[in-house]
Amino acid sequence: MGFAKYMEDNLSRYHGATVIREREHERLKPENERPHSRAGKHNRGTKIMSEQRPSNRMKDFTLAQARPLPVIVLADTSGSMGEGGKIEALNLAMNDMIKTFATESRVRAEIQVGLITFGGDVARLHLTLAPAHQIVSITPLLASGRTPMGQAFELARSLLEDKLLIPSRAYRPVVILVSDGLPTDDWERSFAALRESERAQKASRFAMAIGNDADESMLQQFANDSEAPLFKTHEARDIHRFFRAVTMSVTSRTVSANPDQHSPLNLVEIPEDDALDLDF
Amino acid sequence: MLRASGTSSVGPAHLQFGQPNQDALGLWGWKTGWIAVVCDGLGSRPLSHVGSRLACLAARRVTRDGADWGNPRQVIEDIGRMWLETLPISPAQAATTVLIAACRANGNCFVAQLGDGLILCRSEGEFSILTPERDWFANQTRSLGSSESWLDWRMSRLRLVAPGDGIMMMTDGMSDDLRPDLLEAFFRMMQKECRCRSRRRAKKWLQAQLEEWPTPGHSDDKTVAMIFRGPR
Repeated sequence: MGFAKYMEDNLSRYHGATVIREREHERLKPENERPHSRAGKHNRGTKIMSEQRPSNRMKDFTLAQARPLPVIVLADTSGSMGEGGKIEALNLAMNDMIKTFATESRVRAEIQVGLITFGGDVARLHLTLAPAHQIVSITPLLASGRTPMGQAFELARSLLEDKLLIPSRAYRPVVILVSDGLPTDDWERSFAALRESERAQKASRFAMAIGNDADESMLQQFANDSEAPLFKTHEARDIHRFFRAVTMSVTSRTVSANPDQHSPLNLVEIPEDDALDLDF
Repeated sequence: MLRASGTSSVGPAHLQFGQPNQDALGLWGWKTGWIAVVCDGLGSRPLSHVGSRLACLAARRVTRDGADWGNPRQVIEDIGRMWLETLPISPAQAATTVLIAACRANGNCFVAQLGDGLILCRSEGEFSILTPERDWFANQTRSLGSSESWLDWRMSRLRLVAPGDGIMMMTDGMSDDLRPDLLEAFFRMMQKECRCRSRRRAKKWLQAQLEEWPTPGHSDDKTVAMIFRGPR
């Protein structure tokens, strides 16, 4: 016991405050420049006092997945979205977004994408929430029928409240609603339930109104981000711009010091030689 | 005999951007018992590293000045008041979570928590998780500087009397990456590793474990404090 304390005191004095202070920076150095990789070059005097790096016990008790950052899109696929190139623009925007999320460096979070469509008579979970880099492709969206937006709100709420699907360790989810028309189902109750849901309240919600027939009042209430009010457009090309702005905002979170803080949406112009340039 | 160990490690995100550790740890002897305080400054607040440190000191001062843990509401309010009095900036800029454990030599303990983090304990031979499951998402929490009601605090009384009894408090930079089904095994492992080391070596061991955190993409600061009863 006395000898152990003697050794410990010698170790403590040798390493001293400067080395202990340096430990925080050592992790930024390349692997081959870190002190533990030079163990063989120490002289005998230091070798006695050197201590082997302890084995990592935490790996037996920690999760092997990065924290998720869920992005859930609620997309209007009603019949009117088939006019003026809107559904084509939406398909292109979704694919572009997923591709960007899949290829961007996943420094602090694993971006997951889910897609709920509402068209015809029902809302569907078109794409189950999954890590973007694991999504090979999504079935192209087709426009037809009515606008069951209330069902989409129910689906979105159930997704957000599912703690197995979106655990509490997840970063604040992003929910994006895109619509060009009025809901045609009993949406008020579902919308109120979504807004009152504790978890849905904590998610960042963005909304885009396309054309004159969109319910701007409702979409304005859906969007809860003070730095990103309702985005309104009459051009199909702006669907792509909006999605690109959301994509940039989300990816910037994954490399920031604080991934829960989003950066404002920055809608940039898409280059003139972009294939899609349709008005309606 | 009650023993204590703890450490705090700045996370990769703050290292990369040259920012300070927003977590703070206080571990002090108290009448042959221990006081442990773990605080996590909110990432969105620019001076939360100041808030977390001052919260540790406020909790220590109130406890050492003869806090009556029989009246926990008064103690909590005194800590909040002391924090506000010592804060040189606005509370909103320095918001922080707070986890406190005050253990007397006879094993009677008082534990309190405001905001995120995790408190595990083994009391009279029985393991339990004192922190309820979080309803929201990461980094969305109550805190000193935003919460104004003592009802936002969660409090418990425990007895650490059997060998292996103990309390472990940690910030969510650690707890969010732990497997929920292995918390009791984790608690036993940590205590076992610290028990067989001196306090200084236990701190070094803990520091090495936190610096080599295995979860991919981990970025947050990590802090842990333990008070446990050694073998008879």
